[in-house]
Amino acid sequence: MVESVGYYPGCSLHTSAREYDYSSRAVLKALGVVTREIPDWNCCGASSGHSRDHTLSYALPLRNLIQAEEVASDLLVPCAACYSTLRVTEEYLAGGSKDARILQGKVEKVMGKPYQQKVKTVHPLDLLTRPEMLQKIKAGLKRRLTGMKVAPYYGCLLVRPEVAAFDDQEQPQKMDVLLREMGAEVVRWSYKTECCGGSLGVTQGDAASPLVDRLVAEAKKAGAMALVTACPLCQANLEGRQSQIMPVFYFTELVGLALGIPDSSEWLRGHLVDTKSALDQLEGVISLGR
Amino acid sequence: MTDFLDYLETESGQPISRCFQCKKCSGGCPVSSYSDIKAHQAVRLGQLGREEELISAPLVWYCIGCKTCQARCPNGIDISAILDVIKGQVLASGGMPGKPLPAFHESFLASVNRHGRVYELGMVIGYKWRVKRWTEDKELGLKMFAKGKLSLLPHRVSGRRQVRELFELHKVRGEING
Repeated sequence: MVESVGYYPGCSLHTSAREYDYSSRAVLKALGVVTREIPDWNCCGASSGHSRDHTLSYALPLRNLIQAEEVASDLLVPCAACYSTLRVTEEYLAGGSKDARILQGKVEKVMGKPYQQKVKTVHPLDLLTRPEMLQKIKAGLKRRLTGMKVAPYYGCLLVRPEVAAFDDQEQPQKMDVLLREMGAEVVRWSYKTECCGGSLGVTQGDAASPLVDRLVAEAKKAGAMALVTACPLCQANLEGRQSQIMPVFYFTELVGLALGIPDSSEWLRGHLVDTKSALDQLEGVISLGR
Repeated sequence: MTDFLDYLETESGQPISRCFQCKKCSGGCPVSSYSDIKAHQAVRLGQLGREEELISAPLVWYCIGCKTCQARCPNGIDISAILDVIKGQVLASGGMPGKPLPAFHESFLASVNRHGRVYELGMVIGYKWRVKRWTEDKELGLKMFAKGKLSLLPHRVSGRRQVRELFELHKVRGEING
């Protein structure tokens, strides 16, 4: 049973995706998990790191893994991109290839600390869907999400590459299960793991918009009134680049809502697309203080 | 085997030679329609050693590393890793001035190198400066700002010197300990 875990927010959760940070921490706290932010963490490099050189793509996450060893043995990483780079790096070093050992030596020298392969990178969706956690969530439900029709959207980096996947790569189910346990109606759709455009959302809005619009249209066609994500970049692209109006929740926000965490309505104020249309569908809506 | 194929296979760690052009990669690729060549054709150019054509293909920069190609390839080839080798080559030689996608990576990495973390507002300004497209997405930017989604000041890492050294590591000759 996890009780105290390391926590790596990553850059987005400190700025554009604050509500994902607040809701993740609050939900974990409510479920009895103590999060300890890892000291002086740095950016994981994301897609730019591996676009430049692979030494950098492993070195930046490795510094964080070394920093995390001071804190706990499980490292929770809510951002899907950070989760992916950290997890992939962990596996790369565990593989023990010649290149991996050379890289480890170089980073250890820079940091003046050894890497002991003690930390396991875990995504909060993976943690919250473990049987004991689902049990706790079910026991703590204050407001079932009955009446809310949602499309769970996993995107790319929770299920790809295979070494980092914690669910089926083509037909993931964990978010579906979690949402259903909370009373939401989960729609069936075929776009769960299609890409939202990633960094194209920042640079080439014209290229990202069609990808986002297709996702939103398909979710709507399946009967959903909202999308649910586990990634700050997916959330930003889905909200910022859609030409329709469909709210996009972080899964942790919905857990917070279902657990009756008082701050839940505060988190939702940061959204670019108003979440009211989806929340109004909840049966016997309790005032969310909006 | 051509020298270029040899180089690409070594640098990317991908078994490019194994590709038999089943095209499953291109079928699942989200940016297939944005480039003159598709994923399977990029692999073929690699096999044939047609370096110039591959380097100048827009696909290189449109690829955002969603890894759908890798998940579906019967030969386990991660095409984004091959394209990363080309991106790295271009970025190391000074990028492609004014082009949005290389400029994004340059701005992002400059921000990380400087602060240890991404300073989103600074990164966006650096990016706009590089591509000279100041008014694009102005509305979205203002909306995000109004929602408090962009911090005015950077969050800095105290180990910035370490992070900067990590950026230079590819130049350092390594040895195996123990």
